[in-house]
Amino acid sequence: MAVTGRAASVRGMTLADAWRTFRTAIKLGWAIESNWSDPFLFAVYTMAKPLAAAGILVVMFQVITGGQNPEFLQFLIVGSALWNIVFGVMSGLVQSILEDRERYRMIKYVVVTPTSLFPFLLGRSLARVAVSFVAVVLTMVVGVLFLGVDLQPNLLYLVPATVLGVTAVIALGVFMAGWCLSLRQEAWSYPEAIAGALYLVSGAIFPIDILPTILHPIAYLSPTTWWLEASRRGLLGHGSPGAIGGLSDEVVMLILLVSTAVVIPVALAAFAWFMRRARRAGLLDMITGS
Amino acid sequence: MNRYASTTATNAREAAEWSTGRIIRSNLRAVIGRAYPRVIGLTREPSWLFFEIFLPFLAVSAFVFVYRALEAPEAYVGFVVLGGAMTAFWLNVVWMMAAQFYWEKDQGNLELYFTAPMHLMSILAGMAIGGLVMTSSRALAVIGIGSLLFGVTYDIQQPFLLAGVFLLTMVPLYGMGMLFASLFLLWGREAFHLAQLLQEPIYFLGGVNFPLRALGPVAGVVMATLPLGVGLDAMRQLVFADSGVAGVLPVGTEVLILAVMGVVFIVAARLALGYLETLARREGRLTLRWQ
Amino acid sequence: MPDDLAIHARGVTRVYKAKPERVTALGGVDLDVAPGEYFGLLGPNGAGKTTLIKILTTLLIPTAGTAMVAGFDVVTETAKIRRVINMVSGGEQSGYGLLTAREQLWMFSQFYGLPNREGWRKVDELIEITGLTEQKDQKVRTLSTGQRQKLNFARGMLNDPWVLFLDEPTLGLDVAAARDLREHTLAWKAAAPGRTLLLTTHYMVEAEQLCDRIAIVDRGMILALGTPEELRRRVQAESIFRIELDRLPQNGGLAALTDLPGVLSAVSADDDGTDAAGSDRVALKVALADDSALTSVVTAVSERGSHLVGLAKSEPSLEDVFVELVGRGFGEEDGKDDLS
Repeated sequence: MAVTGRAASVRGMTLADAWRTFRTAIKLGWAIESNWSDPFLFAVYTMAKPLAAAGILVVMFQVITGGQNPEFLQFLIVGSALWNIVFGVMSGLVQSILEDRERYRMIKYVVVTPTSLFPFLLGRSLARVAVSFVAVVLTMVVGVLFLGVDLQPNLLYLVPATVLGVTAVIALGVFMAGWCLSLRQEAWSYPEAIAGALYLVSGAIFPIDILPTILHPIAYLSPTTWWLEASRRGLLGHGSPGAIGGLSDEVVMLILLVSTAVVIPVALAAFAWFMRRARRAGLLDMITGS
Repeated sequence: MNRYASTTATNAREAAEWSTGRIIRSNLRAVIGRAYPRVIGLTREPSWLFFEIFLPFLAVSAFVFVYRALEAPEAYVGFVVLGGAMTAFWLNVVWMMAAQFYWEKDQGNLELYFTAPMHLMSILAGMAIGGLVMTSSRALAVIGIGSLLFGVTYDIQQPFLLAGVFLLTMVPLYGMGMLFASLFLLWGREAFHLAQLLQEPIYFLGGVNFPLRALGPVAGVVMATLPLGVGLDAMRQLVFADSGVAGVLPVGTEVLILAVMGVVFIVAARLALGYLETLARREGRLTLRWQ
Repeated sequence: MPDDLAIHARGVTRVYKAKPERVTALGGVDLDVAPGEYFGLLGPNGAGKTTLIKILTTLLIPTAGTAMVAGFDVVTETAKIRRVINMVSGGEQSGYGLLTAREQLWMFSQFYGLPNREGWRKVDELIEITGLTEQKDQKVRTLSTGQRQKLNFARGMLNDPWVLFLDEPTLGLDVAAARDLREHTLAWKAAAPGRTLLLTTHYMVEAEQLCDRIAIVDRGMILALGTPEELRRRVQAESIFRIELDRLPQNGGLAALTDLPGVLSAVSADDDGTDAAGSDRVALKVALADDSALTSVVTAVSERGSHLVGLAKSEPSLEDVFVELVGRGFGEEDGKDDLS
């Protein structure tokens, strides 16, 4: 096949290229995640972690209320269940990028290809994100079967809420991944730290009204707050205790939409900036370690 | 003596004979040597103050607000603060010790440790001690800031006993970490999952955020196996003497349990490290990456 | 006696339980290395060189056979062995990136039990010896590949090892850095006689330059063992010289040379196509039973009116030896998994 001067010039990346990269990265991510030395252990880990997290809250609830106020228990369980997605996405994206930089030392080879790192990162971490959905389902099943959670699903509301919410969380995860890549310190535990901090200001396990007033703006600006609220309405048929529960379903969905629409470009721009910074500082093939 | 020399021995066999004193001194030096990069790393990358101190404090605060939402007695807020402080040490054990050999193997440092004459427990101890600066800072931050912000009051009637219980809790805790280090080396690529498994489930079983007595009969299992749970229960009884919330067992009994646990875990760690080193050498796992 | 040897191996075998089928990395290796000897293991990737080093450095237990280092068993007396050995591998990225070069070395000096002050003294000495003075306060992660390997080499010297294992130490290094490392190794040999070196490499030049004896290894077996000269003799017993003259010798020409004692053959180098056409010079390829016969050849050439313009000895390379023994070159691997 003759190579003309025009054909030899480099063409930009198309959507088809990005999709191919994304698909390939999914396969890679799954191959890594499913490389269990002991599937039983993996199953235990997948179940024990989310159930224990919910169990802590359930025991706290039981110790204080003796089982009174079941609505609050439902509030706790739904928030705890959904928080697995936040943790799964954060750790999935950040761990993927750090693993590829420090364990497999492949990220520099991905960066020098014509493909963008972004679809690679998304695809690579999808397996871990998928596992977090299993945790959500498991926690909800236990909640329904054993803890009296009364599900009243409204799929017309729940599905768009989930799509928007997970998209927002992924955007936050992308931001975190870029940030961790540009750090010189070991950052393996940072996604958990960030997820833990968001735990505080998202109304995950207590109503936002309980927070000190000074933190309310942060809580109301976070898309995770509106995602959790919308998801509760979509699953339980009613909102959270407190001021946020008084808003209409439409308002909650609209705010979720707007906050997601804002966080996506911010996260992408930040990721690009972090990548430039990492390239400038020579961090793409750096190995931390102490 | 040539420039490379550091020995007066005339042959290899003579150079290989070390006295007991020299072995002990060498291992102590190895502890210091391995702690060094941990400590110096804190000064060279200060972002840990945000990620390892401030953010975890926020996570602990979340549980305080759960109790506030439930209108719980203020003593429970103190429980969460103390539990949050102790999780810092547990996380140090899990991530800075237990999973560490696995990461070291990936980086190629593990084989250098194995070919050096010091015992692996010295390396692990060095890692733990090096991580203690960060860990202690985190624990103190949680207690200090938490107490100030949430108005926690303490009723410490036996401070020396409290200090003793704390130190006694650290021994089996870190012994457990050493034991896990060898297990992680054996289980290889499941190290990350195992480390994750040792967080929330342990917080649950250890009663990090609630009095252990609330677990009912399960608390008995904890008493036999989890130094974190036993130590925390004893410390809560000593720190919040007037809380009205009883512990699982009297403090004296729990101190005895911790002492026995300390011996058991340290001995088990030494035996496990030796056995698993042999197993890893037999199966060729010491240098096999991505396993 | 095995106890008197620096390295002793008998029937050392190592089988890996790889999938889909087991891999025999070492198939019964016998080896004796005397104290003070520099010994090389030469072979392609997957030959078993690194596997053998791992066994000798107590990282791996052999499936069968026995091995001793400094008179101590590698399976049961690992603690004693680790006090008197050290190991430097090539192509690795080990170390702690946030430490400076000097700190990294000091940390390892502590692992070898050096007192604090002695450790720093040794570190500074080795930094100077390996030419890292300018980089001593640079973080390890900022060092180039060659500098990191020098640092690794310095680490290998920290405990003044009685047996040093170098596993492809110049892998990935440029010519200058590789030469530096070889010079450091030779300097160590000169400064610390009685210390033993086991070097694995697939660079023939390195093996010839550093080693007193070489073993050629392939597929887990030692195919040949001897000095570089002895190994070349296996392929080419005679000494072959290329002699360039200003003209063909008179009075008998090449036949007169062939009749000389010790001369096995004398042919024009043109006969094997090695001489450039149209040259005024005459090139001869002379095979001698022994180097000492060269004198009579040079004398005969001169007596027959020719003048010597050039003289070069043609020797087989170690790759020639390998090809002779195995039937393929170092680059012609057959794709077996490299578990070494």
